[in-house]
Amino acid sequence: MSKRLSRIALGAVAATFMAAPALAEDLVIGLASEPTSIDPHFHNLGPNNAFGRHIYDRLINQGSNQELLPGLAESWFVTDDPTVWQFNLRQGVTWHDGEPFTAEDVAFTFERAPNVPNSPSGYGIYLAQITDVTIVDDYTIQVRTADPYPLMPNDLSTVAIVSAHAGAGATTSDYNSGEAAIGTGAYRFVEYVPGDRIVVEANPDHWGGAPEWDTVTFRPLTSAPARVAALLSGDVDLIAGVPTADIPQLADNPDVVLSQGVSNRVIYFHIDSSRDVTPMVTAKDGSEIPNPFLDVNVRRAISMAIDREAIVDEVMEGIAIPAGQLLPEGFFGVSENIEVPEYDPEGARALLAEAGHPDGFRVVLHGPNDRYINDAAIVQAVAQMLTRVGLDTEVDTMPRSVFFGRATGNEETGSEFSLMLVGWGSGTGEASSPLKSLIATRDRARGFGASNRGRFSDAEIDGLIEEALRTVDDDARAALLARATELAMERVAIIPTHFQVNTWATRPGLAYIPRTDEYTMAENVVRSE
Amino acid sequence: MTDTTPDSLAAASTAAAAPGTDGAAAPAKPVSPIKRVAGDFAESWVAMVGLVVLLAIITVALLAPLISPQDPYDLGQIDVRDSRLPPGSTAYHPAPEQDFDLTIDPVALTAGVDAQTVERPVARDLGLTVAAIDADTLELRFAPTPADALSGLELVRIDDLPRGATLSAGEKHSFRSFWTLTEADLQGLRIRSERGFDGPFTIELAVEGTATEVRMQYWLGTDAQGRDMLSAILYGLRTSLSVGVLSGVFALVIGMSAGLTAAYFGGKVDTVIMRIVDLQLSFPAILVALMLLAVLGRGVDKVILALIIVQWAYYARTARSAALVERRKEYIEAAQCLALSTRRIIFVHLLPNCLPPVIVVGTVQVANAIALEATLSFLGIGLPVTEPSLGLLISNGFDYLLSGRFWISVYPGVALLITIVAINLVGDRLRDVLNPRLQR
Repeated sequence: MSKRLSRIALGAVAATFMAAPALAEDLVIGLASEPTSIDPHFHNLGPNNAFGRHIYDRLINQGSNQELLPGLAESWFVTDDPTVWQFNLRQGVTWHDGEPFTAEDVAFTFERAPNVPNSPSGYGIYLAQITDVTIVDDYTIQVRTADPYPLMPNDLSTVAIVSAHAGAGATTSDYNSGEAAIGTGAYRFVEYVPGDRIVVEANPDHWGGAPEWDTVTFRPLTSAPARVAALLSGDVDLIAGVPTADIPQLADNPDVVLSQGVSNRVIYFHIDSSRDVTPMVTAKDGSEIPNPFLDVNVRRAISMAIDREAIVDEVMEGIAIPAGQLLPEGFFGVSENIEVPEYDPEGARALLAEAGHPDGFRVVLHGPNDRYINDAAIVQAVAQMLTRVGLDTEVDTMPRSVFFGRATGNEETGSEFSLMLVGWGSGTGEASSPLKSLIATRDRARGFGASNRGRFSDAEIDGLIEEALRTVDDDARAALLARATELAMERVAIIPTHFQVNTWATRPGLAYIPRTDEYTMAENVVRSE
Repeated sequence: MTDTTPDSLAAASTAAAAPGTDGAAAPAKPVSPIKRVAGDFAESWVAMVGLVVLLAIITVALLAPLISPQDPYDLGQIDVRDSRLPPGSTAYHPAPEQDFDLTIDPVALTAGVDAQTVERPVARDLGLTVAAIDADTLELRFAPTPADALSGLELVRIDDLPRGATLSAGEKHSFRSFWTLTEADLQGLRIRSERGFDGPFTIELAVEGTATEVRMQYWLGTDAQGRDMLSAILYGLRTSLSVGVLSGVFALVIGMSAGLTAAYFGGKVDTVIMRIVDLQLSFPAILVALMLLAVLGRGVDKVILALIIVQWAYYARTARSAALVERRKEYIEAAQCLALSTRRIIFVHLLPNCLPPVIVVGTVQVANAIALEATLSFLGIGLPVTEPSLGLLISNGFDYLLSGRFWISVYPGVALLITIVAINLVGDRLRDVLNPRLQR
């Protein structure tokens, strides 16, 4: 017994000694959720996009605050024809296998990205505007759109550029095996063991200079306590998704450095505002009633009944920002005229009574329990608040694998739920992304309302969004987006509760520069000595 | 039905008193079997302790709605504002609070005050005046009515400062826009802006007094939703016991009927029933329950159903083995000769003689059922999140163990442990008492 104990102790000592010199060059990152593929066009999912940025560059990269930075394109502008964007490509860039990077690769990428077989959610929405691609010369490429489209650089900053020579005919499994995983990025693919680790090594020939770390290992540690334990034991150098419950404790721990940043993700409720009868609302005696949420005053009452400060202070333990719109302050297209709705339970009761529901009704709230920070606890807290204004509220939370399918429902009948918690991070870093996806009337062919699960529809707001997407002038576009947001919030298209604040934790000597897109990337890890 | 009781008791006494030598020594003393069992049981003080504890647990569980300080399943009664309070915490009624909009004109040096919340006001009037220290700095001076309105405050917050402006005292939140101050900071508070002030602006001042009125005492603390742990544990015990007992009773009835039928008829009937039992027992109970709940959905009734399906096979096997022995005894033959109906022979003659081992299995299985229900809830598939049983409470608290909030997980865990140990102590003693081979 004692022999075994001492062996374990020795092992631990050996591990610390071995880890110490290696840490100078190598980085081990504990991820909260694992990328589902190495193929950068397979699945449009946060963890995939974050990981993909290590191996592949984009024409235009996004900085920590989602500002646009030159990537494989050194410059970009609208030509004299307002429907044509021109991108001047960086010269002398080589792929990881030594081949030169040219405009052919870009054209190949635009062809491949929307057409990956079996893709659960692809990148077509970012390329749908492009009607024609012209290769002017090896380092110049032009794209044409039907209408002037000011968001082209934002859209293209989400699409990873893959090589034509390695990618031609390659399937997603060729990427996962590493055979086709040839990028121009700062790191080269080494190894992918699903469920265990992904390893990349430095690309010394990167156009931006050799990266900071020799090798970077990503380890998926989906259980939050296990992730924290891995950091405390020195198994990993950095963890993403530090649980809010542990933050006060870790803040006092000298062996841990916390880095915190506001994200572009709003947590909100979709509210069924289109169907005559909504599946999860009944009278208190269980009989069917017409959908009360069709009435904007009922939707407003629900919003007023939610104590956003309590959610932030108690459920999120202070690590969040109460939300009254789609993006936090400082993002492009955010309205300065919107206040966080006041918590007003009496007002909510009065509004409900006025709308013909003096005795309330029964409603089931739905939400995922493994997707957003404290998601299930938020749904339960909101259920308390709705109960207090006289609604019989039940809660049903489920794993994301089940939740999202049911929340979206099928095309004809819509969502299986009536009032559901979801989050939305603006991939383009400005307000058109949530407006177009969550609030615009659903129009599958044009990519509008793709995630509009409440099927909210308002012609005036649609008009403003479409006009904004055509408006090239930045100030005018920002004003249109802000106006559309104001109307959407006034008409309670969705009910925002808070903006997520993300926390990363590193070992001493390192720090993480927080990213608004929530991505965990090696280039944001800095030495703090 | 009325003749069942004396009949079965008599039969039980023969069976229980029958020593290993197979009826050679007939029961000498006419002692009631229940009395004898009770007497034997009481000889073990450990078992008596277990019994007392178990009875106490059953009592509090039954009386939970009457004695618990809160209904933990009523979302209207629990308040997320009281979340994660340590054991022994006192919750107060909301403190008086007030929001003011201070409209400040940096040129004319005037200030307008608009009180937002007047329900339980802290101050009637702030008596605010503004002085300019230099082009970039303003000083706020308060002369409130009543004069002590701004003393003894719990919380002072200032929000909506003009862009780029800072305060001379207090601390800005690390990522939000508001500043937190103490009451002392309010005296001679200065607002400074590098770029100067380009016109009148409005800032928000929120003050909160000290709460004194006790609303609730949380003896065992609260969980992440502000649920009183004591109440939640009492209600959780109720769920655990009722799930354990109900599923145990139903499984016993079904399993015993199947086992007796198999033993009585033998042959093909026996083979079919016992192969189903074997099949059932070859799957781990937790796996079967998980699959069933995935199909059935959430709810107490579904958990009970799943546990019945998982458990009946144990009773069937035990009942069959006991019945196989009894089946060959003369009293069954005698009953058959009297041309009694098969059903009467099985349930009136055979069943009571097979009861003792089944009762022992039953007590152990009830404890198992409680543990299994807790496991399912811990995995998050048993009961709805708003009606936590002990397993779900433990699971919820699991996230907080690292941060030192042990009470959310530990107390329900202790309650579960005590319950299961008590049932097992009672069950163990019953096995000893009812086992004819251990008779002195």
